Amino acid sequence: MDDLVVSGIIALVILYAGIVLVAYAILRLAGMMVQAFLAGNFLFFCGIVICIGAAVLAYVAMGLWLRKTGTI
Amino acid sequence: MAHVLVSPLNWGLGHATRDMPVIRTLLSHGHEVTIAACGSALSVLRQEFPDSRYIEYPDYPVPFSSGHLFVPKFCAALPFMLHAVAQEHATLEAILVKDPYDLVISDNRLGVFSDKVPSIFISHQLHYHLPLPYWPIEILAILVNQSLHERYDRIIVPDNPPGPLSLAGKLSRPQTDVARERVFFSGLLSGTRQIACTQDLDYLVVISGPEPQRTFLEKIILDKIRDLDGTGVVLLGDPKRPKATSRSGDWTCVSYASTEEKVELMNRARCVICRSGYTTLMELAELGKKRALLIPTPGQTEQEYLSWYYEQKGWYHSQVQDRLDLADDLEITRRYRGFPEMPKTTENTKRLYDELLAGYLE
Repeated sequence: MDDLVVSGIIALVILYAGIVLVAYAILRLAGMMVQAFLAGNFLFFCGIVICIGAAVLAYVAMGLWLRKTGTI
Repeated sequence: MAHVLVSPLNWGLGHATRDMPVIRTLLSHGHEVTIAACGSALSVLRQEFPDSRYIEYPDYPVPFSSGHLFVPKFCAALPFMLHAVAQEHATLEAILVKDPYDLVISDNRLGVFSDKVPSIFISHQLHYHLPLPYWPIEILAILVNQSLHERYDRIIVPDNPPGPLSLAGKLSRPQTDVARERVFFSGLLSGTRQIACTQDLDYLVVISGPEPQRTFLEKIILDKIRDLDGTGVVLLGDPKRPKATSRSGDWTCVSYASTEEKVELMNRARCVICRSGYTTLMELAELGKKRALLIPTPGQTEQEYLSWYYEQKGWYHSQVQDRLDLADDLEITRRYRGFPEMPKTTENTKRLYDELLAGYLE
């Protein structure tokens, strides 16, 4: 097979695998939050919210840092 | 005399028009040029170079979205594009078997390269800009671009080298060794040219780009030009409509203008209102226009980046389509200074030929 197609397929697999992983993680976390809330485990619920907030902050900070350093 | 295959992408006319000066230079040096393209790009080049040979060479559809979902829709379209690029490459191999060529020049057609014939890629985008939330995809795109650039002997970037005169900003910055080794900054390449005429038009509005955003902008502009003082022409840029001209007060509305008519109107205009597509911006630079209002196509990340970049540089004012207040925005354009002086197409194509193309053709 043409190596253009091979490298394209590899890039697409990485991209789509990343999207699927992120979607799975969001659904899983949403499920855990609902369970914790319904069970009255607010400490666990707040812990997840804080973790999500920290992850989003880290993600945005990483993007901004990459922009600032001219990497992207 | 060498034989060159030139193949521009047919996503708008930008690729075809910026290749015109390159084709003209090749022909003026006595080389034979075969143009392989499709759609409007092929029609425009056929008009401009009636004596050249042509090959109908289909490319792939534009995956632009109608709204603000460009990135997700583009990602979803990638497998189809990959398939189309592979087909495009197979077609090129068949073309090269039929006729001997000394050089292949691809303007942004990713499948147009060969192991057997030296291949040159023309692109102003060595790097794709995406909105911040998509930064991992932007990094992945750097790797994908590296893999694509490896297939070409050289890459012509129609921009000045990175620095104060760079027209494409980060888009034309080589970020991998593969790109750095191959890149040749030709400076701007534009199909338009300066003509001797008086600037008797206050405004020229060029409504272009993919549908349905072209129609949305047309409605917004036609609704608001009544508020403006001065004379103006609106180019609707819709080749599907019958050619018609209508007048209303000091304004003229033209459904479609030929390349020659557009060149004349751009030369006559004191202020240009247009999309921030890279080819249009090179036209502004070529004509030395100091006043323009840029309206990026919503969701087109490249145009949005260029608009932002020019605002930062103090070159041109931009406004997003939905927040356009024509009278106010045109007043703001007076505070901007336009592009700085830079080498023009004639000088650039001469240097491009002497320093790069001649090495493959003579």
